[in-house]
Amino acid sequence: MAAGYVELHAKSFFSFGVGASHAHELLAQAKDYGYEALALTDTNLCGALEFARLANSLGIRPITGGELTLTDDSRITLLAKTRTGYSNISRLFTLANTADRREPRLDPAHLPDHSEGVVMLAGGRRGLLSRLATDGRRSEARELLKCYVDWYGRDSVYVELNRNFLQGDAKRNRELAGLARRTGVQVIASNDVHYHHPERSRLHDALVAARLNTTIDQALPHLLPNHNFALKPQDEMERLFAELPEAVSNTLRVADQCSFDLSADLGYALPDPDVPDGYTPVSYLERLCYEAAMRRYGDISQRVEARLREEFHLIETHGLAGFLLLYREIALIARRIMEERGMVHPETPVEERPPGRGRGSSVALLTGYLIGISHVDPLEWDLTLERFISEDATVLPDIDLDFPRALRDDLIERVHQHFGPEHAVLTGAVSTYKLKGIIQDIGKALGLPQEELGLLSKQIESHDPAYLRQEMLELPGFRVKVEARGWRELVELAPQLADAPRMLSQHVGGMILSSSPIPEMVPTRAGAMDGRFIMDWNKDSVADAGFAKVDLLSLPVLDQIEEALDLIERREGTRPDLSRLNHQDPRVYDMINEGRSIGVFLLQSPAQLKMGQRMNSRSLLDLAYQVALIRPGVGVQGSAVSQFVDRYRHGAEWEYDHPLEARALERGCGIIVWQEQVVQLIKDVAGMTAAEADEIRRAFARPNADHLIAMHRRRFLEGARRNGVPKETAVKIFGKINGHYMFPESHSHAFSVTAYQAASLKRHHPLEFFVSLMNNQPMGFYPIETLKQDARRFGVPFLNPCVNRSDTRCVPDSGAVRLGLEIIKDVGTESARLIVDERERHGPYTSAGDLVSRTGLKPKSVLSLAMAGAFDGIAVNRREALWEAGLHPRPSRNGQMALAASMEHAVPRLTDFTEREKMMGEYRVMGIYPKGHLMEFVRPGLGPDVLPAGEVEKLGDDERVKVVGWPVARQHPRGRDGTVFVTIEDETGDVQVVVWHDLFARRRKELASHVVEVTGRVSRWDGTTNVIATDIRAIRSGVIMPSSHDYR
Amino acid sequence: MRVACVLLTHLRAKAEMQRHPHLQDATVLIVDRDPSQKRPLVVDGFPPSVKSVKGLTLEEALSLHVNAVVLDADEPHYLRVFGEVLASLQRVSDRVEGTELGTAYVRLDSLEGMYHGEAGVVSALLDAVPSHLNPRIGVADTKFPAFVAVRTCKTHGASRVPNDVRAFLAPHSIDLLPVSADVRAEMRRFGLRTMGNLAGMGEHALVDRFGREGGRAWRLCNGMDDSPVVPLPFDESIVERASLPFSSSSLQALFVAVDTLLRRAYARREMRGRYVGKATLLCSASGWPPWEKTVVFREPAGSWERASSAVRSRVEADPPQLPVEDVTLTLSNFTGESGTQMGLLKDAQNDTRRRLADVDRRLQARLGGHALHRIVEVAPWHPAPEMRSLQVPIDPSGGDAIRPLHQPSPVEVQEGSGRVPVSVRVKKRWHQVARIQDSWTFDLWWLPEPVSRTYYRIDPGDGRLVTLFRDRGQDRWYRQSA
Repeated sequence: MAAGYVELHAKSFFSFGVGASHAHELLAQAKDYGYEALALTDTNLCGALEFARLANSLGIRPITGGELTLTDDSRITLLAKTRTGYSNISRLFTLANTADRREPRLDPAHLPDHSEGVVMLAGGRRGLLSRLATDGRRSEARELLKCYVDWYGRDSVYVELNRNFLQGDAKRNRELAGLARRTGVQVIASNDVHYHHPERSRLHDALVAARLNTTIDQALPHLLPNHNFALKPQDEMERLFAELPEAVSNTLRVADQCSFDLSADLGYALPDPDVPDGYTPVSYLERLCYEAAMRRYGDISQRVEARLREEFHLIETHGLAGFLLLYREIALIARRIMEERGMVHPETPVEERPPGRGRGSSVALLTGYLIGISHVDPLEWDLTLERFISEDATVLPDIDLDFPRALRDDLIERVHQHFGPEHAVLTGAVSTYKLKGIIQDIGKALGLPQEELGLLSKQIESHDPAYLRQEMLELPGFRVKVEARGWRELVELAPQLADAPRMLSQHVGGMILSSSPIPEMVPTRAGAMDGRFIMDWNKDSVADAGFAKVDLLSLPVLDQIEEALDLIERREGTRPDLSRLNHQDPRVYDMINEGRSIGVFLLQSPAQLKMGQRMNSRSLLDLAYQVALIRPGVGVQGSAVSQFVDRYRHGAEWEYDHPLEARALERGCGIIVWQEQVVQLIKDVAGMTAAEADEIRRAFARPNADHLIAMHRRRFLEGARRNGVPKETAVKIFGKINGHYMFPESHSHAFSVTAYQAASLKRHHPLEFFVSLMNNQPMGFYPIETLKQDARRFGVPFLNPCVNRSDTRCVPDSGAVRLGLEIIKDVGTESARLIVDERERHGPYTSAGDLVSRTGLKPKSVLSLAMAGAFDGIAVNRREALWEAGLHPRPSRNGQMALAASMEHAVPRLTDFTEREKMMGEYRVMGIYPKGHLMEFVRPGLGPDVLPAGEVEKLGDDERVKVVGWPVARQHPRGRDGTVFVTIEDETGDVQVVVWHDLFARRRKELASHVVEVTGRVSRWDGTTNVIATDIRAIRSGVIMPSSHDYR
Repeated sequence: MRVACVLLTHLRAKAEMQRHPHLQDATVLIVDRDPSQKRPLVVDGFPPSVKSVKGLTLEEALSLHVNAVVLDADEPHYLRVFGEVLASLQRVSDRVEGTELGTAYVRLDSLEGMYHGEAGVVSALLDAVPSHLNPRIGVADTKFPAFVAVRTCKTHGASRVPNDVRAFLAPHSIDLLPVSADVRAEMRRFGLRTMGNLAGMGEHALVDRFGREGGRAWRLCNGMDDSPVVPLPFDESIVERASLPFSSSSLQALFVAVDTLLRRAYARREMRGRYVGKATLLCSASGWPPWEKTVVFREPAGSWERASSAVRSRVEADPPQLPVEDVTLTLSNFTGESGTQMGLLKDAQNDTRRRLADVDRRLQARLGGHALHRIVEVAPWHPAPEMRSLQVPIDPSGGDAIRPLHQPSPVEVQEGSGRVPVSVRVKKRWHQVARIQDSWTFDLWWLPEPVSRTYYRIDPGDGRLVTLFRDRGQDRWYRQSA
């Protein structure tokens, strides 16, 4: 059916709190209605590029536009006819954002200067034109319309008519049509679309209320109180506008005018790097590399020369010199910050102490190593180039720069300053609705009690809103509410909002650099933090646009490694050179393969600990596979992980379903391990382009996308048929694609290096490893109590903080980790600094009262210090220390000394806390009990049939076992039918417990207790030992342990 | 001095059980949602097995009692119940002091003669309290030992403190001491768990460590209490109630009710020449927790306009987040006239009001019932016309007469295809629909009783325009006069 109508005014979820459909839902519905084009006119351009790409992939012509709110609160809709028109719209959004970051408002005075290449839809329900026309101010309305015609040209202004069955629609349309006729301007029909289907109108109401932070009833003045704001079939629009048929046919005319395709070309170019006179970027890069190579290697050996030649050939072929120099400029900015902070000597060459680490392709580049953007010497361990950048590559290589947390914030600001906010802008991040957010926002909008919503949020296990009803039925307190008013609607609306864009925020560090002004390509706005600017596009859109994103990420493990190296240098006098680390050290691999890598970056999760035992890694390549295997996207492929291990480690044979799979799957031993393999597989089997293949990969990750996936499936099967793949085989291959997260290949390799470095530190310098690990929390999987237990197994005890020996952070003290004062609750960094500074100025403290008099610390902090044992070295006991501290007045704020308390009566004789009270106090104020473990106090009350966790390894397969301990982590992997993996820790070690879904559903409350008893059977398999739980029981210990975590 | 401490434990729970007998078998949590608290706290509950949840956050309590019914604490009601108990006790003794909710002290001296001894007085006090409140009484020479003693006896019983007060108090927990929670927690931290532990310490040590509270605690634990029984003051208030014709989330609708109540209250005879220091507003609607706001006037208000202005500004700053249907206004803290600033110019508005009232009174006399009304727009954006405006009588006296405008009335309609009206019966005559000038719909699906209508603005052939709607929920036709 040839479409006679095109919707030119439609909003998606990206109009946060205004639209109620995904872009792909709008497009799929438009496809069903036979639309040849569709305009997306959100209140920003956040979804514009995603929409354009998706529309093209479905054969619908995308029209890019937006709805702007003016300072008088009226709205206009603008559509891009040309690239210039798009730039103008983007500029106008940026100007509106400048006026108010949160509630953008555009001064209409800016319109005439940005009218070229733009179609304007005047009128509509919220337009100023409509307001004037319906208020009887016809002459003013006529003047305004003439003004628009002057600015945009007669063929680019249309008077928009809506027929949504709200009171006043008919009158407004009559007035507007008359006005258009009298002024000689064309009319246009639109349905002011807010959702793709009428059933979404309720969700729309709830979202409006959530945006206004109130209930739907209170938000009534702001609602669209019927369900007529959905996409409508062409014949229905023709019927609605039967009296003005030209209003419908004009939509096709506008669609023809708007030929701009956002997904095609934005005119993006990287800024030119600073190059000294007489040099080109290539020659300058060459000079820098050869100078650094002389410093690093002493001379330019044949090997170095050959590698550099090979790299420079690729660099010239792909025009990457400027790109690499730009990264170097950023590395130098970071380096200057390090110098200013005294973190590095100015004369140390940048390649010797690079401020950041490459994560992507740069780890394979000797060039990257020599200009200071990589931390790995690729010659040292023979990293080849083709895995990262090949001769026929068409896109910029992927280079992420990870920086220590301490540097990154300053660095982002400096980069903005260096390039200017028009040319350096942070990538946006669009947060999406997850189940807990849905419960809170939509529940509040429905007027449900906050506490009950909070309780439900805490009790649910699933993150998938589709399971909300089932989850509620499993919870005794909510079972009866499933059908109750308000709750019933929550259950109904929740799945509709799954993964819907919720708000625009800032990407953690993705910076876009451009030679042309960024606001002409994508709207920008000031970030929530001063001195930062963000753009409307998220990282996917940025990648789709071909922008070079410099990821200035903060990776806590880098801070940890840096600190550990500093400590080693302080103790040994020399600093280990990690770029030359031996990556074949069997002792490091032994540690990993024995499951003793708790605290090690990427290798510490319970699943990774078991993976190490199964993979038996012996090289960085093994490690790269190991870190990539424990990702949701690999885990959901049935028994893919086991198959990979069998094939890769044990040489098992495999067959492809079709020879066309070979190129994509060969390096995964027939398994999809990295996300690039998915794209390659689709390309090879169905003959699609990389962009089309990537769109299919992403479609699987989109919510409510069954319709979309079905469309892609048809195209895949058709492509496969053309390539000679039998339908049955093609269906099987399509079934291998999933939308869950996998590592990109280059990340796996880069991360494996960092993981190895951290593991090496743990194996050879455990004291420094644990001190730095403690000082960089939170950064991992486990509570610090678990890290302490692990440290003891490495011969590193922990010591309580001490007011006369501790620093603010943890320090090595006689071969042990002396806890820092800032770890103590209610003390914090500031008070800890005060205590240490005062001690260094005026000598050690003589008593708790002395500390209070000298520091003026608040009673709450003093109490925590006493409970943490920080006065143990200078007091008779903790109770007396506390009593005495309370007798000493704090100096007043104005520096006036208080009168000394009468010490006539001094401190009465008080008995000390019991060991159990001390343990409870230490857990409460520090989350850690350095001297022992909670289970030492619980064990005497347990029966003889309870086995210490450390002895489970000794049992045979299928033997019955009972263990009691603290559940330190609960992992809920996807695609495991609700099976939960729980790590149970006691004073002797830990044990992995597998809890099948039905048991978990029955015992989830018990599992949240601080001490649990698990009965089950031992499962020994492939070198690993687990307990398959058959029952779980909570044991009351009376101790509040630090929160354990649920990982999904 | 002889003092009786009358204790009514869990008064909130008992008051609610009395009010909601159908919840007798349910687990009920009573929750204080005071916005000044971070989270709603459970202040009471029943049956007895849940009473230990007092002080927990609602979330914590619900996790223990998953099927509990949650009631919002209705403090004015509990105070009323307790006030009635105090009034009843005052009929036994003229020296009654109510402290915290559920605890009262009564001086017994010189009553023995009237009641045949102390036992008679105690018995009269127990009889004065409604039986379902399960009173108990502790008797001592001073207040604190009486307070401790009352916790040792059974309901409807009494306990007397023996002569050795110090020994009597020694085994009791320091939790009963009237000291701050912080001090109590600190004492426990030092291992001081009983009053005996404290009494055995030196007074100066406790004063040094805990300040005045430490000294007071030491004296109380040693049986030394010199606090007097302070008799209750007389509390006068004026209460007015009104109902809106529909529950509304509009602040304007609430203000219409407030103004009506204030005008009515100020028109009362006993208000003449008096100023009001405090107004308490209690709003409720079916299915929602009550919402209360107390406004203490900076300067006592001598006119309803002044009171209204103060109430409005406070409510606007912190509006109720729920629909309002019933409104109760309580005025209290009265003072006498302190002088009125007269205007130099004639107050034209007042004059008009007075004349309107005169006309209204005359018309009322002739017609019977309210004659003149003001029309107040309360929710002009509301899709249902009858919820946009209210009709308020000019005369503040009289009953509950706030009415809606544009009430729809049932009408007979013959439908064509698509359920479009083709003829309508107006004034007992069928009219063919000549033209549908406009049509629109709305659907208020979230209301307890959803409202869903399709409107038609029709021309029945005689040139007039008539507005009809089909209520989609009831499947009935109405004519709307707006």
